[in-house]
Amino acid sequence: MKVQAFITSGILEKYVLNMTTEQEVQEVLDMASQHLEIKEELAAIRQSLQGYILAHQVMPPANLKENSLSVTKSKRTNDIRSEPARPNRSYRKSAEKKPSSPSGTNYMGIASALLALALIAASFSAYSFYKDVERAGEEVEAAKAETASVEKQLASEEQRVKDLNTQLSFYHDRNNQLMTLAGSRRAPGARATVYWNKETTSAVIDVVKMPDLVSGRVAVIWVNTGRQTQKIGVLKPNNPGETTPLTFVANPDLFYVTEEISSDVERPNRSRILMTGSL
Amino acid sequence: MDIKQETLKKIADRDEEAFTQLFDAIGPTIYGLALRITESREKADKVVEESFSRIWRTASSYDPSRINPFYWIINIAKSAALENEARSDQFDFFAYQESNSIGSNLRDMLNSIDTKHRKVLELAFFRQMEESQIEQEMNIPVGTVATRLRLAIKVMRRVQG
Repeated sequence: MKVQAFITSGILEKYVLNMTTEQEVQEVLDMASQHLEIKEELAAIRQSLQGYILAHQVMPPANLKENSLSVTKSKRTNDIRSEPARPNRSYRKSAEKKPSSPSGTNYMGIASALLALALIAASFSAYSFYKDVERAGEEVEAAKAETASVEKQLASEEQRVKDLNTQLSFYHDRNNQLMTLAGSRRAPGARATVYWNKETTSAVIDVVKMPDLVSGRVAVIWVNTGRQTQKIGVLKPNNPGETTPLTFVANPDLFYVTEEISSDVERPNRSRILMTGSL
Repeated sequence: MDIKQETLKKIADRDEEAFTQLFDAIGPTIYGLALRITESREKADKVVEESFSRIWRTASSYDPSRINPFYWIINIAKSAALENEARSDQFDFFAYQESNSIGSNLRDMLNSIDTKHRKVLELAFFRQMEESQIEQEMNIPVGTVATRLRLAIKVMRRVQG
């Protein structure tokens, strides 16, 4: 009797449509594990819903198939694009041209004139040699100070490169799964990337463009895993090169960001979805 | 529709033929779903492309113990469609479907559902509204939402046999 009442309550339909609370989800799972009728009822509801989805089929335009399947070729396209460019024939030809020698020039005359100029220059040089040495000493001191400053700057740049490399090694980790959170109608243009790593059980978010929020509100990040919804962080604008860590959740289905009155809320306000995305 | 786990496994192994077969099998379903949610042909095209791109990229993460392949794909398409939701009063999904029909007899099933029950199901499935939101949208008590959902699905079960 209890089973029949549970079935007719409508909770199973809500469960299949993802409309149940976490408590109700648990209730359905418990009942399904205890009663075969409920398990069968769930399967029948899923089957009906599948029919409902299929009833909305529409023949896609011909080019859509080609465009959709082209994702398999993108690697090849990139490979082709990454081929080094062939040298430009006309450029090579002109580069290989030998310079033509001037003709009809009196080499002896030029040499004599250069020798005379060199002698005059040497006498001037001898005169100013002492002054130059004195000035050079001052320049060496200035150069030393400048070198120290450049070295300091270099050390700071090296540290920055080191930090960036650490970050890059994270970004380039082959175990990372990338997911773009795109702005909804409420926040068009908002964008962020989640780096989700199953191996290191870590996840971070890189905010490209923050959604516009009502004053005093916060943007909370949620993840759906099967029937569960979990809060995994609060969206904050990050500086270039910085990311915000998120709580790692195994097997996420859907990520989304909602606008909330506080970061302490326990359930998402689904009418204020700002961004969504899935792995 | 029976999408096999092996198909997703093959796609994870970069089998382009399996990917093409998957498009032939489920492309019209994803396109219909995308049109119904976005109410825009342009956006629906984008959603289908994005969905297949995600399927190709993430097939290796498909876990058969958690969800069947059909609903795994539908979830991907739904989330891509909800990201591209546009909504326009200009677009008449059913008229468009009529002129681009693939001859599914399941369409008749929709007409057998009472309009107000069907509306609740549409808001729940295509617009992913919660009970309280449907309550507000349709101005009906929250208990009625569950009842109408149940009745809509009951009719579909009867029609589908």
